[in-house]
Amino acid sequence: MLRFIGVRLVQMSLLFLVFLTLLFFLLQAQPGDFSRQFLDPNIPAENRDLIAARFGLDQPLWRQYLTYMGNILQGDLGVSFARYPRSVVSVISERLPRTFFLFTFATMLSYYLGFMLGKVLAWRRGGSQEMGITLGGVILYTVFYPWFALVMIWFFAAYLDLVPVNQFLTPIRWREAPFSANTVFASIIWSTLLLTVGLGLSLWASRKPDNLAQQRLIRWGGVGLSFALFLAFWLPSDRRTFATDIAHHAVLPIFTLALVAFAGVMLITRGSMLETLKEDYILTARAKGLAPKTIRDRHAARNALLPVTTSFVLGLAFIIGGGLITETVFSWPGMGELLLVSVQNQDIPVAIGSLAMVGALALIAHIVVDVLYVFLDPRIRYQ
Amino acid sequence: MRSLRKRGGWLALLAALALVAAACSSDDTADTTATTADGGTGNTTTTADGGTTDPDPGGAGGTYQTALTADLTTDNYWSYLDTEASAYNGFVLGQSHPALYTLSIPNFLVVPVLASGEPPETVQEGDVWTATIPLREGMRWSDGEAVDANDFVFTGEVAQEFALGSNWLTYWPEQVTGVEAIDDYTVKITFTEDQPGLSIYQNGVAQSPIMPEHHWASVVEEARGSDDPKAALYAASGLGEPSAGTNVFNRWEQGAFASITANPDYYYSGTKYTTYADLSWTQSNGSDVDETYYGAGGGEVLSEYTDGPFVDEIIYSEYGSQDAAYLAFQEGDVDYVFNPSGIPTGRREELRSIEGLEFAINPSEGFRYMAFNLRKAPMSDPAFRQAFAYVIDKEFVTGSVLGGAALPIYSLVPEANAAWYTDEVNKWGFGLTEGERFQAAVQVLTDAGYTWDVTPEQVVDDDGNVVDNAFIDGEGMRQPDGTAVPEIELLTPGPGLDPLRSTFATWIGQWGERLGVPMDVNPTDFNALQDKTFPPQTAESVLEWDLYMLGWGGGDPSLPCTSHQAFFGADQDSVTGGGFNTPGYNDAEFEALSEEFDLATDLTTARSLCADMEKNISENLPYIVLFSTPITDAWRSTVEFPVTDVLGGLNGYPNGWPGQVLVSE
Repeated sequence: MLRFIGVRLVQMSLLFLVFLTLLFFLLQAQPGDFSRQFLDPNIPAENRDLIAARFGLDQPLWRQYLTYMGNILQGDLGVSFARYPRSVVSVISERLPRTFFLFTFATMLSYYLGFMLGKVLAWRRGGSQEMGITLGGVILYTVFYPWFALVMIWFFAAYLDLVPVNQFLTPIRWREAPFSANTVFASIIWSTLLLTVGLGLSLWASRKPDNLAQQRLIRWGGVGLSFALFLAFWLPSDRRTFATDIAHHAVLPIFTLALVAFAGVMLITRGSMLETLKEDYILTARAKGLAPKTIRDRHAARNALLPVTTSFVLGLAFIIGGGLITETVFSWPGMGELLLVSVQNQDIPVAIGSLAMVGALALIAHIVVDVLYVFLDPRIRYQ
Repeated sequence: MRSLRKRGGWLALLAALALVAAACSSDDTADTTATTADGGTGNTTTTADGGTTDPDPGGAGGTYQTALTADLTTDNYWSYLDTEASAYNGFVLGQSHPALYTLSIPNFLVVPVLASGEPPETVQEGDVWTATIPLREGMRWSDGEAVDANDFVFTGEVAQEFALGSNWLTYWPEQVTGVEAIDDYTVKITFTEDQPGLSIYQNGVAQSPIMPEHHWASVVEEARGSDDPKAALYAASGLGEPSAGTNVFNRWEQGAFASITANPDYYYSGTKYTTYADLSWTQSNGSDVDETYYGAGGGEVLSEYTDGPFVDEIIYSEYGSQDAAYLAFQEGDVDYVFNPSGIPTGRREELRSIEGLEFAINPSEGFRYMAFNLRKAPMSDPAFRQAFAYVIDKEFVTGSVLGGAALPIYSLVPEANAAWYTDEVNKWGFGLTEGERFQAAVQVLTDAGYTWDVTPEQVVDDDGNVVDNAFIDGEGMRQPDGTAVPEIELLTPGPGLDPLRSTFATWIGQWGERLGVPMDVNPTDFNALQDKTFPPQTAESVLEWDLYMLGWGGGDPSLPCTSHQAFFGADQDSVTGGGFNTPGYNDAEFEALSEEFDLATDLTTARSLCADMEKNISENLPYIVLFSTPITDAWRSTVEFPVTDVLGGLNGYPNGWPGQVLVSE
């Protein structure tokens, strides 16, 4: 196993270098460069040349490439042209929590919905319920997303006035805030992560005792304690008002994203479940007289989880890339919007930095999936 | 028994609902309602038509919420005028720093701010020229420090020592060789051996923003010791920097919003500015400021407004797209959208159906044009260019085809810039019918020696009468030397980027074909188009284009012919000078006018020379100026701007009126 991971890491590193090279040359293939922003009759030619030189744009492409790769290997992603002299890392760090927050919640919600509905669909195959849900899911999955997002904004924000139209906060509430939005994002992310860990540990620990009463005690005690700690952090916190403001703004984009994405998961789960339900051990379970729900949830669904897990882990990697359309339509300034603007402005270091992060995480996710397979399916062994 | 997972799901759902409910609940400490200084009834500003009540300045008038259609990229004023020069940064930061002089609104005349009185004449001292400018006392930064000559000197020294670029270079060009404080309230500027013209002195260094030395001195000192002083200077945050303008920069939540607050100690707070029909201009606050420039004052009032600030705070929300910004505007989240291009055509009618909005349509200072590559035949032939000037019917395209979305123009200086505009340019074909334009163009080409296999002409019916708007296209067109006219490529932005230019190009292509010119109208990616036509170019690469269509904007309305020099000066040739003379225009008369313009030290001379430069361009046609687009602005009726008729729209000068705008409940 360790040898396998070692080999994969080496392969991954080489692949990452090829990926960076391709990125660099693809982005540089655009006509013009960032110094075009200074095509202003009031700026003398010499000054434009100085600006180009400051950003290294006066160098031949091969030299720019070597310089850039040299810096990358030293962990230096460079400085943003459009936000000079801020480092690329600083710009990405500003946007990352916002995207991570939005897309993690949306992804989890869509996978939860998709998995739950998928297994029910497979179980009730052939009924009108299956046809209705599948049809609805496919329509949402194939809908023209920018249009759908605008319709959602119009209906829920403009017409019903339930949620804000766009942005991730209400400026007038934040103007005297004693901390930045990213501080609040960090608090939300960490507290939710700890809550999730707490709930997971409770579930894991509750399986250890043989006694049913002890299992329940540990399970509900752990759940209660996790939520209590969560609330103990937030209720007295001066960040609560600001966190709820962010949550309020996040409801519509998360809901919209989940609606569009859940159908894919649902169809994967349904297909996988249908295959699993044909297995002999399911027949055996039925023959033993187990309750249908137990067969569905304990025997079939768990084994149908493998492709869904793969899709989920790989999907998490691409969360960082953000949703270019989502972030633009909902005016949510995250990684997707940053990528779009940096490409439009030919802010090459930021564009490469953003995409490199997605690429690196995608490669890591592939290794994680490979390793996860071993744990999820004991039949799999890597030589 | 219900499974834990199911119960956990419900709990999660409940928790999410609780968060939403908490977010939706009112928060007394956070919500702010816009109120007015006079108790919510709304202030009124004095206007040209004799408005009623003077507003109360001092910033007690609520919150003005606006939208930016692009992100703010810096809060550092040094950087904003160099690498981060953008209109959006200007909206937020633009009104915080004083200058010796600024431009009056709406006539763009140089008027004093920190300086006391009009710009003194430069005097020759040995080999150099100097200007000694007295400053007014009593102006203070928002932290209480005096604004004085040392701040101005500090600014100039840093700009030149750190070789700050872009706008700083315009303010502190190499012709300014020194600056010193004679005393706390007198500065002396030294120029090179050539007497500085308006662009170097009155419209250059005299309008340089002044930075507070007591705030920046330590940053500058630290930057000097770093590996990259300029980067170190630009990396410093501008938060906490004192202001001597109407507003103080307050907060920046990156990607979300920025806010500026009223500067209650603003020197000119409560000062009334009046522009009269004879262009004279007064500023008066009833006590220590009572001055008149460019005339005696009095007579018909063109505009009148009072300086604030009148609102406590201005919030600039950053939106990822124009659509998102206008959606927020429609929903009442913001009072005004900052968009340098004005409201997009498709959205205007939609906004007009919303109650409680007011609109203004203003001329743009920019223009769209078609450029000829004068380095190649037949574009190098004036007759060829004149033929195109004749057949291009701007009134027809802008009026009948584009439905008034654009305005036909004949000069680079817009008509709305009355002080500099001249009507005495050659308006080729203006007032002629389509047939007459066609005949005039064919005649010009024939006189110059062009020939055709099939001569272009108007259709004549059986009775020998000329049929209106029916033509026989020319074919086999040959140049005076007998060689065939090659296919002429017209590069234009595609309809996705600019449908107006794209439409114009299509018509120009048709009119060219009618004359017998083989035309290839090529919609091109904007960056690719710039790459092909703009500097840097080589002697070979510059021959790769024939005609292109682009636009210019953002010139200096107080000295507009500096743009003419940049676009047509021989030293600005895109090949030899790396400048914006893309056509390769090199005309002795224009060069002489340009040289005189540089040396002009008074407005009357400069305006006369500028008019002559306009005439020269309209005769020789390196560009055919085509059209401009009016700027449409909309704002909530709870907002009141001091002046709404201004060149470039409300986004323009002075950055959306942050110091003069009023809001009511």
